Parts: sequence; C-alpha cells; structure tokens
Amino acid sequence: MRAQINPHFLFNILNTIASKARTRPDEARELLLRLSEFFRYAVRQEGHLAEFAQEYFFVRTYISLEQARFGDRLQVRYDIDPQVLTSRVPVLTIQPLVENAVKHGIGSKPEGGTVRLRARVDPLTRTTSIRVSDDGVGMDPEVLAKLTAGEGDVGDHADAALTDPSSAAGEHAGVGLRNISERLDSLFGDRYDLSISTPKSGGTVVELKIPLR
Amino acid sequence: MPPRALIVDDEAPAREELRYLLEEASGDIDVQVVGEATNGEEALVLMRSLDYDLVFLDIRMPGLSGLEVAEQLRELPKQPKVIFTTAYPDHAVEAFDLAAADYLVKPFDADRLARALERALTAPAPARSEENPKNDDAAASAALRAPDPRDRLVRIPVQRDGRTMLIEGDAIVYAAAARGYSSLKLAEEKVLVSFSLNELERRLHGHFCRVHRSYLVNLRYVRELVPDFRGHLALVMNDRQRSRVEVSRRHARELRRRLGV
Repeated sequence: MRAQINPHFLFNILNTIASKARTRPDEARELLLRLSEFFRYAVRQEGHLAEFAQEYFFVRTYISLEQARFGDRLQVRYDIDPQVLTSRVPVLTIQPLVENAVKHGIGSKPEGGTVRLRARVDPLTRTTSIRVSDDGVGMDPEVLAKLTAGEGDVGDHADAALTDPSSAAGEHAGVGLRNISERLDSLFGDRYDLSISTPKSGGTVVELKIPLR
Repeated sequence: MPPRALIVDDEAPAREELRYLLEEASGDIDVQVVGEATNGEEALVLMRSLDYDLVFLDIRMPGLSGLEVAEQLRELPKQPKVIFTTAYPDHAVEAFDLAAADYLVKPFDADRLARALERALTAPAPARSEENPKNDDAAASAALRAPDPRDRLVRIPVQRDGRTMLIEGDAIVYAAAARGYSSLKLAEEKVLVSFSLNELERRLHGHFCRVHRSYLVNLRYVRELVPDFRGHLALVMNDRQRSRVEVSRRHARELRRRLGV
C-alpha cells in the first residue's frame, strides 16, 4: 500500500519551504524534516493494517505541513480515546479523510475553518469508530442524497463526488472515498460502515466504523 | 514609473516568496509590488478601484478561483496583464484561453519569473486586439477576438493521463455539477472537467440549456420528456444509456420554450 500524494499539496509545501528558507531558516528545516517523515510513512508498502497511533502520527505530520501553508486559517481539534491508540486500523485511510476535510473546510472558505478528528473504541460492540468533520460549506444535499441512497443514475454525479473530483482533473490527487471504500470492502467485507453526512449546523462529517482489532 | 503589480494568493508564504522574488531577484525588470490579496473577491475589489499593470493570480483559492477572477477582469476598462501561478499546471490550457500572459509553477524559479515578466510587459496590450493583426500571442488573441459567439469554436479541455483532450460542444450529451467541477456525459463515457457548470454554460452556446441547478443539457440529444415519480419533468437523452436528467420546476418553462413544446 502506498499513499497517493496530491501534487497540489506537494508543490505548495515545497513553495512554502522555499519561502521560509530565507525568512525563517529553522522553520524551513523543520518543515523539510516533517515532509521527510510524511514521505517515509506514505511510501511504506508492508501490510494492510497499522496501529492507530502510527496513522495518528502521520495525520499530525500532514496537518503540521498544511498549517505551515495556511497559518491560522486551519484549526484542528483532536479528540482521541487513548484506548484507540493500540487498535489496528486500515493503513493510510485516516489521512485522506482528513485531507478531504482540509480541502472542504479550508479550501472553500476564505476565513478558514476547523477540522476535527475523533476516535473511540466501543468494547461492547468491539468497534473502532473514527470521525472526521469539518465546518466547511458542506455537501450539495442532492449529491449527498444520491451518495447515501446509492441511487446514482440521474446524471450520476454521485460518481464524481465519490471519487475525488480533482483526481479526474489530472492531479492524481488524494485517495477518493471510493478508493477507500473499495479497500475497506476487501478488508472487512460488510463488517464496516463508512457514512457521510452534512449536519444542519453545516460542514461535512465522515464516520468510519470498523471491527476492533 | 515601474509597472505596478498585485499578488493574489491565499497562502501567505507563497505571497511572501513572490514578493521577494519580484523585489529582489527579477533581473533587469523593475516591478513594484503595490498590493496583495488573499482571495479572488478581495482581488477584484482592489482591481476595480486601482489600476495595476500586472496581476499574479493563484488558480486555486477559496471562493472565486484565479480563472474566474481573470474572466471577470475582462470587464475592467483597463485590464492588467495576468500571470497565473499554480502548484500544478493542470489548468494551463484554460489559462491561455483566458488570454493570460503566462503561467508560473510553484516553487517559483527566478529566471523563469524574469522571462514571464518580460513576456507579459512587452506583449501587446490585451485590449482590442482586432486592430493589431500582428499580435504574436496567437492563443491569447484568438480568445480575445471572439468575433461572433456563434462562430466561436467551442472546445472544452479535459485532462486525461497527463494529456489534454479537447471535447467539442456537440459531443457533450449533458453536463452535471460535481462540487465546483463538472462531469461531462459524452456518447459513451463520462469525463470530469475543472469548469463549474456556470463557466460551462457561459462557454457552450447554441443548443445548451440549463435545466436544473446541477444540469446543463445539449438540446440536440434530448429524446423524450417524461414525468418522474414526483410529477417533475425529466429528460431521456439520446445516448446509448438513455440517461435521464432531472428538470427543476424553475427551469421547466424555459426548457419547454426552447424545445417548442
């Protein structure tokens, strides 16, 4: 398994580093180390599952890079049940969800927004649940209705929402939801749940529930 | 007086970097950075109230994209030269269609920036290019001249496998909105393009009709009008899949008028 690197992310962070190399060289060096960490993890190829703690570290590395680009516009809140840290989750799955939230939460609003990552273990149902939410503009209700109803033939733009729209625009961008759900299918069959919703309060919520490992 | 430049980018380090390069490292060409904007709306407000000779427009920004800003710039009495900046040049074709002087990829290369400045500041003025047949920037002038919308060759650039394909308007059965992008249904396949449905509607003249907030259809391909289960109107298209397209109540009247039914 290998992460798909969004070229926009890569070249923008390189541009950020080029900029800081002059004005704040220590910070530029720190960012290069973070970017190295990011790639080291992203190109790992062994195994389908990883400890949540590793994936969490990867997410935080990614977020620290995005924050160098966006500054205060990107706020992130983590709410992680310590019990989750040792549970095993599909590798390279949480970061793309967070990346989508950054894109929708920050990319759509000039004033920026907040991305939240929440993770819990339910020992009774033996489930790990991971929720990524943003306070962006949310999804078009019609697209969402079609996504969740699985009914897709009228115009079929659910397709476009499921795959990352930017990837089809030639960017090989972040792993779309469809790609993730295909991997979850092969790992867990029907014993997982991946849901997307747009609450009344706004934004988009993606919730992943997988068997506790 | 040196040319006055505006930098538009939502990422502060990117603005700083460009400002530094323009002020310190742009070779013989002297450019004065007289403003920065963090998004398209801000940029338009600035450009409507002040004259700039040159604007550096980031393509991907929250709200209006750089391409949308450039399109609106055409309405200004005195248009600045546009240099697009992008991390990944997937919109280059569209950029040239909008008569951009040049585009730059990030991270910026100082020599490349100097060439872009030279090109932008020595190119003929972007306004009224009919009177200037020797305009050497063929792509830019073609887009600007646009004599009669009906004669205009409308082709939509689609990025696929690193290549740019050009889709004829007549090959499009319908277009559907997909979160700022659009998906084009062709006879056999669907392709995604990085235009919003509104941009497509502006580009595709003639037989295209907006039938829904999320759909723009090519009237040539409409096969049937059918009521759907809620009593709304839907279109059955004349493609192999007999695709169905919803018609919103708001757009139904205009559609009937255009189809004469």
